[in-house]
Amino acid sequence: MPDVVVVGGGIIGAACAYYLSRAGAAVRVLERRFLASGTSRACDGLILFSDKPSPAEYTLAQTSAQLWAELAGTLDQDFEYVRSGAISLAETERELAESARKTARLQQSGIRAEVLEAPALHALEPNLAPDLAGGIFYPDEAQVDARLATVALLQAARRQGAVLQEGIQVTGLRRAADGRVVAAITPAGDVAGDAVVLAAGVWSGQIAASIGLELPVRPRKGHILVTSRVPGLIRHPLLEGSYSASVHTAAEETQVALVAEMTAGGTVLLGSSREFAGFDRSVSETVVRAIAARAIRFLPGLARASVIRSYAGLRAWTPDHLPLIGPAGLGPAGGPAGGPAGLYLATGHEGAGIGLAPVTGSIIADWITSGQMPALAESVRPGRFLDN
Amino acid sequence: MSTTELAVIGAGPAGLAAATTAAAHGVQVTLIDELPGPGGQYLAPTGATGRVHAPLSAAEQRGHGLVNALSGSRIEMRTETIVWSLSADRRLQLYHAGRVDELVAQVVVLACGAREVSVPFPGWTLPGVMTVGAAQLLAKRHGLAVGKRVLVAGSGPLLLPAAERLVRMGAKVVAVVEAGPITAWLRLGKAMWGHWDRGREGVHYGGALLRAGIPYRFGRAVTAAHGGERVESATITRLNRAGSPIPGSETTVDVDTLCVSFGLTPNIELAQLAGCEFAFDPRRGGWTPVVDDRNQTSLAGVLAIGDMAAVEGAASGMLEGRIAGLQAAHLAGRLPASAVTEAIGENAAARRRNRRFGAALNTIFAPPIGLYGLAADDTPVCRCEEVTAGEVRKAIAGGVTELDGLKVWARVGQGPCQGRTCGSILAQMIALQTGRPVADSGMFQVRLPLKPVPLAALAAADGGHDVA
Amino acid sequence: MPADAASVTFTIKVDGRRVPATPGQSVAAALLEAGITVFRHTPAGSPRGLYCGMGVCFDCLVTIDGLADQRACITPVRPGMQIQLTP
Repeated sequence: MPDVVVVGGGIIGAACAYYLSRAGAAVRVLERRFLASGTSRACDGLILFSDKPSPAEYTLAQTSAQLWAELAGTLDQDFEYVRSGAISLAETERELAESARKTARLQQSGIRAEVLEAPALHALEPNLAPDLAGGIFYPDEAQVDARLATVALLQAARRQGAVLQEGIQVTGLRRAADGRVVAAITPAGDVAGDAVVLAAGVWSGQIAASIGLELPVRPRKGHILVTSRVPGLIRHPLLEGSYSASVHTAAEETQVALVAEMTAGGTVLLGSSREFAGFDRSVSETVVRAIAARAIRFLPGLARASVIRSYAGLRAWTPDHLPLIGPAGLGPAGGPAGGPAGLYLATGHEGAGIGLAPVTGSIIADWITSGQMPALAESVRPGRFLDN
Repeated sequence: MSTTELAVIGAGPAGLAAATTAAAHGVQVTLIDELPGPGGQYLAPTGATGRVHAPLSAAEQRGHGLVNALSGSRIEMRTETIVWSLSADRRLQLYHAGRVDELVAQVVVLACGAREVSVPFPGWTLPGVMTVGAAQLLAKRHGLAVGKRVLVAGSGPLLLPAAERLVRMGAKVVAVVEAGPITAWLRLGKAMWGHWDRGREGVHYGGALLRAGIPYRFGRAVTAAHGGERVESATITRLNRAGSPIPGSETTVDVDTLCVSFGLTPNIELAQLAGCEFAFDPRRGGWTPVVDDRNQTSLAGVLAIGDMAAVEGAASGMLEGRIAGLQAAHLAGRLPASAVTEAIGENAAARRRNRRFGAALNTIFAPPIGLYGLAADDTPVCRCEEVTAGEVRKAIAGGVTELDGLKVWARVGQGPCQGRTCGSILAQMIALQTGRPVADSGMFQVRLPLKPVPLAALAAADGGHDVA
Repeated sequence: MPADAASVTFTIKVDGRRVPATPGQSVAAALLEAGITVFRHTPAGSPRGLYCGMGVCFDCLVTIDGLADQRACITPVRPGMQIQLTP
């Protein structure tokens, strides 16, 4: 069974460690600070497939959602998994009609969805602003606590023999004479493996660059506000209608689209924003105000609540909104890889990292332990960008 | 959005000194405080009439003089105003009366003061259990004696004046118990050289307690508070040298109020958010912003003074405030640098004495690390989120060494206080359990808004959907 | 007991009950003087009241005029103020 080094202790790295160790691999996770210290602690925890317009994105998300449901039943540690469905909100009749058309297409792919006129919407969510035209209810959407989920996956991986090393920074990758990646380079020395999985989110690019590999991953900054406790304010995660568009636009200006998620503790996580701001993780007061404005517009009851803190995180964006999962294509003499050796990528999840973590870990584990490409992995082959 | 030449954050003695000094040299000053009036925790005059409850120490008198000087000055006093963010380029985000606003300053003086250090024990969250400072504030500001049967506990020089004031107000103080040995006070004696004021005060307070027949016991701590909806009794236990309770030496007393304090820790959150450089120095009170002799932090135009820069008391704060006020006046073009250099020279000896005095207080009376074992596994150590000592100990045993790591593994510090109460506790718990130096666990990362801001106020200030 | 007997007393409402208050008092002081030491209960059911008295611990949270989670210790009382301790 292979020795695998996983670079990155976020939810992707934790999921890879879980599925790899379950398949019998000996896994070592290298994390430069502490578990979930990167983007995984700056997320909401939504597991969505309704915001994924292409069949490829949707299929991946749906498979992963099923895996999350299984994990909720099998992992020892609770991570506040709730499947209550989510609602996409429409402010105007026109928006509702447009959403309904999109929904019909999604329904053809098998997504369950229900168009809600205003009275039905308010029956489901009484605290929504009364002037909304309606919404679309997706009953199968779910949520987790992203940090707890990362911990739960990692602890389960440890029980299956995986080792977590925190406080270790990977500065590069070591290639053997024949070009295969054979180790992760750290200040304390090389950590070798039969396979190295690069799951370092937006920081994967720096590490890949050490061997001249250019990854098409850009940091896309997002903000989340945390409110004071407002138990009972909402019963489902809520997204404003323009959310999916904000994900898929290539525009450089900051996009703000409301996402609201109730936590088990009764606080609400409010997002979202998307902008290309390099690696800057400072919180912008302007964005905080914009998100607050959208939140109050849809949930006037928030006027009794406060923002108790906010944070920004860096999503790993790729040009086609699909992650890079699989061999990097660096086999002998730099040609396409074959078999469970060399460098594997598990990054580029852009805002869907929590949702897609299990399917990512599962694909990586399949690739490395069987040497075969699992069917689902075609759309996320890194080769689609790197083979040229 | 508004602008000012000098923004002073915190209207306690240090901030008042900085503001009045700068204003006297013609600088446009905006003085900001969260409280309804100036004076900070130290002066705490009654809001209504500005009357103070005598008698006053020399430092208090000087402080009140500064408060009185405000009305004759051109200083813009902004009370009940929260500074919820500060950027490195000196933009302050404010909240007041339902509205948020931005204030841009050429110079910022941070005078945010300090807060009390807590050591958790079973029952410490019961109503009626409070810090010594809370009892002092209720007494000073509102003339309110906080309870009828009061136990005062902890360590350090805050216990004496608090107990004396409670006695004066007619409360029954059943005892004062101090964690350290009596020899700690002898060690302090050496550092008191030149601080005759403080020595006299100490004798005065001590005498008052003796006359009232109140027992003052050393080498003891409260190891549990008991009660249903509020505290009804407290257990006092003798401590060994390491600060751990000696089994079998417990006594329990009936109380309705328990005041506990283990010294002060600086309110550094604004300096941290802005990006100032920090150093860990137990003599200054722990993590403090690095400042030069002009009280400048590592950020251009940002100064830090008073207890948030080094816990040394009000007299020192006022001296440092004066120097910062002069430096601010220089930065605003009103004074040559030599004026500041001169003031530094004139006060060098006093500053050295203040440093020594503060260092002695902060090190001699620091709670012994063994006390951080008092919490039972089911005692909450993060008050906001009710995370227990057991959960924290488990996370530390699992390998967490950084405070921010505890946020992920134990979910501490996620509440509205952003770790202000639990941060110092957790750092000591990590040190106790791992044997590593306290400084190694770092500081909790703080986030804007530093204090909660109503969503409606933020929403109202939004300029529109386009945020580019 | 308030030392300044000459200050004007007004009333505030606490869960609908009239409670006396004086200018310059904090909400916490007014509550404590009225014999109210429990300001709220945590989600786990623990009673909480005044702890730090200076606005840094966020234990003394009460709803004031419809705005939740206000710090009683640093908020001054105003005539007509409505305070809710129970949700």
